[in-house]
Amino acid sequence: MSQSNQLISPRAALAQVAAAIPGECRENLVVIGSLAAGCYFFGDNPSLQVRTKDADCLLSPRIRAIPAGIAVTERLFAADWTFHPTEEFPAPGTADTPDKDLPVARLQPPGSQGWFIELLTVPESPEDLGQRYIRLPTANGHFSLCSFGFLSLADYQPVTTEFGIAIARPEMMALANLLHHPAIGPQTMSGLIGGRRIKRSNKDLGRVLALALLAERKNEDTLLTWARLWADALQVRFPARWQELALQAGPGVRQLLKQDHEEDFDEALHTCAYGLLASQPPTPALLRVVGERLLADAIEPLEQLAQA
Amino acid sequence: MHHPRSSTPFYDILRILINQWIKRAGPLTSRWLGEAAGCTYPTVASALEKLERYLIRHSDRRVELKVFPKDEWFRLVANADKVRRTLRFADHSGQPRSVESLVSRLHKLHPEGIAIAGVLGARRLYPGLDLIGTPRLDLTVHCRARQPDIGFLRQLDPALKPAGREEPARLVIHLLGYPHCFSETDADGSLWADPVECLLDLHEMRLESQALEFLQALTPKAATR
Repeated sequence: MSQSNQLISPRAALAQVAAAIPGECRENLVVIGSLAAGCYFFGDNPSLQVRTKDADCLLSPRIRAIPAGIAVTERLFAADWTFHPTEEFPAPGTADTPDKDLPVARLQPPGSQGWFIELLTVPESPEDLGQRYIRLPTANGHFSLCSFGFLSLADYQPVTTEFGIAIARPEMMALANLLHHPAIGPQTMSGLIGGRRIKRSNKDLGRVLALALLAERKNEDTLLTWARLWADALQVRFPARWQELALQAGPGVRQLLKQDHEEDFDEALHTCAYGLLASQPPTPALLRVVGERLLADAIEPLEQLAQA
Repeated sequence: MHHPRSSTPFYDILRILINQWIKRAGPLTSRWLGEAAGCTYPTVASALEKLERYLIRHSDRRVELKVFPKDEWFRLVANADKVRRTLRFADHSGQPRSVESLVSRLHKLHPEGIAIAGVLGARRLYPGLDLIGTPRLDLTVHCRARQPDIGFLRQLDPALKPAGREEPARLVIHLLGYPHCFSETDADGSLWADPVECLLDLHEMRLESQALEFLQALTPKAATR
């Protein structure tokens, strides 16, 4: 089944998601990923689009994730949204489906197969950084609600949009990705991106650079504010080990920018040009400079805060 | 073309004399000039001899300029690229930071001995300068070392890389090698280059009418004596 990414208007997609989410669940839901970034940076410009296939929706806090997930899923089905099938998961699970075989909750809007929402949740505790799945039993089938890594950062001080639904701050999404990839690993994405097989680290670190670039386009000095916010978020979400984590934010980007990682950098550039920056693709020189600016303005000050 | 080393002390002395003339600092001894320029008494004497027609020599052997030494100044302007050690940097990103951003970062960093010059320095001394915008950031670094410490540039913008010959510079650093520093610190703690450096920068940018305007604004209106 095709998983190709479509160019979508982030504002229109967010409006559609917001309209379908039950009012009582909105405060438990934060949109993350490229849709959130697109809305944050160019939600007011309908001519700028992002290429994505999924709108990741984070259910938080964890204690509310199951009831909110059930309410959202059932409401979306009632509003004619449908399960987004894949070869591996052609249909929702049932009460008899083992936990490990449940599909994640991916629902596509009526009349559109171009994109879908995917429900996620935050990890149970600061120590729980591994990928975990919990059962989401709904009247329309059983699904899996995934949590992993540093998703808890994505709902730190989210921005509420005019649609009454919150989106993650770009700084926080960037930090979550940085922490997730302190080194470039060999794991590749399951699907092709723009026809190419891409390492997950390069895609996610490329996303960090894309977020930094968009932030700079909005305000050339904005990266200077990131370190303080990052330190605050780490202290709130990971009070026992925030300093250790702060020192983990930089090595992945440093590796990506090294001359002997040209291929990795090219993959990051490709994913930027094909995804979040599809409307205004960067040159290799610009993306590299953005990485260096991010290091100088945000990552190194964060490291200094952690070592102070 | 290689510029003979011997001419640099002359131009250093010329710049020092002009600075003191603008400030109406009054007459100077040869010894003070030698110390300020970092050169020997014979070098000072030789330079003063060349500048004789612009000088007032006092009975106690102190000297000062009586008028702006136009001919020597334009000779300096013509040779400025050989007299001043200059490092030019261009934006290599295609998304350059504004001069205002670079200056605000510089204010926060407060690197020692780095003075703001060029258009911004001139505008500080003469706010009426007829120029919209700031084409580039000029800095004057007081540095006697062969290799100046310009590590602070990365904090201003890592996109700044040494400029090619024809490449427009976004930031220019001029290195001043003589011992006396004429830069001034303002109430905010920012260091500003002396007016002569700013004037040379305007010439270097081919902002000739602004340079003339700036010089007229700096020229003492009445005779100092």
